[in-house]
Amino acid sequence: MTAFRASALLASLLSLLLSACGSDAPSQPSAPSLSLIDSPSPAGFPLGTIVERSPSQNLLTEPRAQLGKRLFFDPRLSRTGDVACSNCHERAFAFAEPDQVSTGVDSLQGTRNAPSLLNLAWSEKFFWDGRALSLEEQAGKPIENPIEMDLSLNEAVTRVAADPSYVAAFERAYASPPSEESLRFALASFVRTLVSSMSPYDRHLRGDDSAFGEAEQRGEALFLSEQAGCFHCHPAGMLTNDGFFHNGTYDGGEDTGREHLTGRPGDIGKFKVPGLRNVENTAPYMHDGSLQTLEDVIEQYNRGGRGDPNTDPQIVPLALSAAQKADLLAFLRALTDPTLLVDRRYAP
Amino acid sequence: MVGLLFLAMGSGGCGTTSDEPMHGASGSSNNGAGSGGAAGSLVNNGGTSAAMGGAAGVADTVAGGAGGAAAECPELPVARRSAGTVLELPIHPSLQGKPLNFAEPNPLSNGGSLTPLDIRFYISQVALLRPSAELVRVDLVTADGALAPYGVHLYSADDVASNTLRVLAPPGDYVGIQFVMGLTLPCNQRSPDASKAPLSATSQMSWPHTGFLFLRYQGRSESPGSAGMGGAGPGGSGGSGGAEAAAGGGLGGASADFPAVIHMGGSLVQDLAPMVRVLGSFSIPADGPYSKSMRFVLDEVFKGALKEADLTGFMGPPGAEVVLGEHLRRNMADLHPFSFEQ
Repeated sequence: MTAFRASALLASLLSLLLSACGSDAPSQPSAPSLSLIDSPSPAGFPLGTIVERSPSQNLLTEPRAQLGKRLFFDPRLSRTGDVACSNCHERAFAFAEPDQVSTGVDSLQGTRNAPSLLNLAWSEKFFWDGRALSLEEQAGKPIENPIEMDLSLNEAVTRVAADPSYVAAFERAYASPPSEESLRFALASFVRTLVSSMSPYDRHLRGDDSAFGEAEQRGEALFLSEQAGCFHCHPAGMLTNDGFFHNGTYDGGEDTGREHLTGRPGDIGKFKVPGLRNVENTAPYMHDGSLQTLEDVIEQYNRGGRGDPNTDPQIVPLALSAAQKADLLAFLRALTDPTLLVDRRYAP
Repeated sequence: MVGLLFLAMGSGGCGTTSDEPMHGASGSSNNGAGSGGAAGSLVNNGGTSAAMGGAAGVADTVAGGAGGAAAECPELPVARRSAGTVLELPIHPSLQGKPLNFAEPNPLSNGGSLTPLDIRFYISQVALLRPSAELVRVDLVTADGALAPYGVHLYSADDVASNTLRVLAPPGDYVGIQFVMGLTLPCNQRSPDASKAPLSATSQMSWPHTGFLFLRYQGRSESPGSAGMGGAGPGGSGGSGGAEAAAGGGLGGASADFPAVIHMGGSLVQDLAPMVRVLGSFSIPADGPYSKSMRFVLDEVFKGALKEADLTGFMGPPGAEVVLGEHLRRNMADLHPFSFEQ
């Protein structure tokens, strides 16, 4: 186990334990439904449940989500038969990558840290560079990527079609045999159900401050202030505006982010603003996994980035005090939905 | 270049008390009330666009004046008409008389360059101007002909699909167009989490302070012969500095003439989005769509942001970019941010 993975796992476990202790611990929610599509929306998110936000060509249903879940955890969707989607989007780490960069077939390493898949039902652009405009479009690309799963969708379909139980599941979900489209659609359906909505912050927005104390409130106020300016990219509620900004992390190198897609010099170093639910569990941070802890993240922003000339003009030194940094950290930790990591619905 | 008219009806809200001074306009009569309102006569001064303070509810006649903002901001507006011709208004940013290419370094007359990184603004309450001075209110529609949600259009230079404004208009002869550059009060009061695009958080315009931003600009300028970021002015992020100081105050990539960041917003209790008029003759046929391109003149935006305005009554949050935005909003009556292309 890598050092990243060990420390990230420890942090996740600690957050779980701490969330269950003490008088400030959130009250445990009632036993959740086992239905994947029966998830409350996170507080402050745009209108629409995960079902309502599913596209007309792939309406979200329980059979589709369950089929997608099975595919998500199935390493047969890789050329070598040992890499599943879940290898890089690990449930224990809020469906994010606990190593600095992701590892695919033949132990090939990528250049980016796989982002968390939480709450993507409310996003409109996908991947760090936004090259996919729907979950359905996104779902097939890692399977075909030579350094990730390296399997053509055609071959992936052949493999699942050889399994009678899959054929039956596709029939239930899409009333048709497995196809490249329905395989992508099913995966997208499952990802659409990955929802983090019960953090202390969510409950705070719903009027319950039992787990959102003074430090968290000071941190929230600072987060939404012009001094820290976090809200410019991470607005209240959704905590991402789904935009692309150079946040001061990129400092040269081949992975220019959105510029790969657009070819425009002004897009050099721009990467998608991720959501922050369960951010405590998704270390390391940034597109390249270069920041190991939330403290490192705060410190980088406090410095005003790494000095790349293309850094967004809003990224400037913040002059945060030690107390302010601690409050910001408390707020970020309050974004952890403690039920997510133990939610049986997301177990393979 | 088509005609320009400036009618400044006061930068205060319609039907509300405003601390802001009324702005007069040469060549026009201004009979707006002290509390703001869109009254006055139509005069063609041979210019481009007119900016009128206050997002008054658009009256069907110019002389109708301020009637208050729309009572609500429904996701699905009530259609004003069931038929018409689609008027397409492609919007092209320009600077120093030349097209401004988004996310690319644009050469400047001083030998430097400017790379716009974000240009977005709301447009709502669109009306067409007849030669008789009658205002014809029209519905914003999407590319597929549906009513635009909330009656609002979000222009984003990064989103090609949003670069064209579309309205459903009666055929006929017109001498201009009028719209609110921003959101009316009811729309500005909407919560992003109770809204869909373009009033959700993904608009990148939601703001924790006073509703939504009406305009968001970010860019990087480089002086001739410089390497890396443009010079930063006085440091700090306080909001009390003058406009020119704010241009570089703590914001990287700024220079004296080209602010790095401008955030123009409004208020949750007043209708403060500026109204803009763009004059120029055109005839909409019965069969469409009919297209008439507009320029978004960044020179005017920078000019307005950098020009000192009386900020009496401004209770906005601190931040250099917010101050610049408020200068821009209060100066809008003197600016011509839009013009028709020939």
